Amino acid sequence: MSHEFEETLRRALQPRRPGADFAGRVLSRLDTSAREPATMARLESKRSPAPRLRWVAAALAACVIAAVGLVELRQHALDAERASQARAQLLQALSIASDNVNIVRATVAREESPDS
Amino acid sequence: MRLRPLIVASALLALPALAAAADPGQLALPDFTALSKKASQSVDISLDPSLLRLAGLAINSDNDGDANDQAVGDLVRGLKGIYVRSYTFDRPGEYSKADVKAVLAQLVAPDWQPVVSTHDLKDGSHVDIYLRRNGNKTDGVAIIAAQPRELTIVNIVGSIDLARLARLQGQFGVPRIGIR
Amino acid sequence: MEADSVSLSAAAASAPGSSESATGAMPSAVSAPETDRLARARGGELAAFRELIRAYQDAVYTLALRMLRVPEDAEELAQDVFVSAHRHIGGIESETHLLFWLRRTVCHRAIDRLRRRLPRLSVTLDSAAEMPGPDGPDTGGDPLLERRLREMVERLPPAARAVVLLRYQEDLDPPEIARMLDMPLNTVKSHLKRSLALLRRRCDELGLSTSAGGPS
Repeated sequence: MSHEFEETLRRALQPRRPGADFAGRVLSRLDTSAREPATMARLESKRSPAPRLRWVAAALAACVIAAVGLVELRQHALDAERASQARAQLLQALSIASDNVNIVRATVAREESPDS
Repeated sequence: MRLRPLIVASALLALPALAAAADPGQLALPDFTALSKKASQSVDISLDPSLLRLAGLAINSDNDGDANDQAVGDLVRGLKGIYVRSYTFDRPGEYSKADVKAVLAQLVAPDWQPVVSTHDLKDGSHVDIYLRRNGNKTDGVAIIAAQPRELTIVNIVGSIDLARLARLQGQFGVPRIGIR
Repeated sequence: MEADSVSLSAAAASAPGSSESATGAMPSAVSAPETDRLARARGGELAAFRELIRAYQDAVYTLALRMLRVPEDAEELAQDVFVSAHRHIGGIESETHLLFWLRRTVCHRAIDRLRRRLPRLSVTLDSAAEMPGPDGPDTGGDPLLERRLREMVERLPPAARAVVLLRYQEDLDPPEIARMLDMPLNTVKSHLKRSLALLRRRCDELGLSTSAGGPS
């Protein structure tokens, strides 16, 4: 009996596929990070001692812009996560409510069945 | 006096907040911390209007006109809140009627009317559904489901179509139970 | 929690077959094309890494999905795990090791995420990806019972859920699960015993037959 139940559980937990071209989406994330080191290497090779300050200033400016962008991105990500969590909770709440409404319907249907 | 306009303005500003807090279809759910500690699983959901809006945004931005998403979106449009407290226990008898007394005490006529009350002898479960009517409209639903090892309270603030809610079962994000 | 960098060496030591790979002997179950693609991926070849993603994406995504229950979150986590795997591919010794590392990282990160979710919400319930559909697997069993079982597994507390999934979805034995989750073996066994008992009881309460003959 226990073995049967475990087999049923195994069948219930069959694998699912992610969306189409999942691998492509992962690789596109890799491409961005893979390109960055090459770009930085080119910048490094062209650097000269005299404009060093310009590069430092540019790097600082880039950091500030990136930081602002990151903050906005993070805020957007947090908002998106909150929305996603709220959605998940809504669906769970509806699931529980629907469950119980249907228990009532089923019980009533059984009681009113001519065969009951 | 200069203070008077300020006091009046403050009172006027506070009115919407007071109105939101006193939404007639919303039950004052007690603190179930003690039950939660005894439960092997607990679900505690409180979706006020702002969270419901967020959820709606997530649903709308998420689908490409998916019919099931739309069904959920349509169903909850206009709702002002959904609150769920659900506790599952390892053994029967871990909660008592006294635990839900504070909720039942609010579900009294003339505001709240019991719509259906069922008792399943096979599994010992009681499920009661109450509606709060405001003229021809419904502005609140309460579901109290008491099973030997599970207690569930659902409060839906606003008007919801129970038949459509039931039909959601088995569709997007709303799993189907095994109805005997 | 960044489980990947800390645990890479531990994963290498714990992965099945790791003793063989440490001595340089090739595990007999790994075929030449598989070793080739891992070696190529380690050499920076993205096409090879794509092959690895395709080989293991179902396992990673399904674990993430059943842990997190929200398809979007599961997709994001699965992607993150593969991106991390790419960063650490130099330390991966074999595909057996890779799979161990992937599963371990998914479980740890999913458990972290679940613990960070809104307080007093033990699970989220979004079984959209579980809807019976044209690509739903035909297991030959009772689809209603199996669906309900999935939902019940997904309602287990995070650690117990991970243990049950690794045992019955990923087919790992308890010692492997213990290594993967950094959990004492007795705790793994206890989670399995209690979870199975709970699942069986819930099926009985709902009148869902778990015998091979189908619903009663």
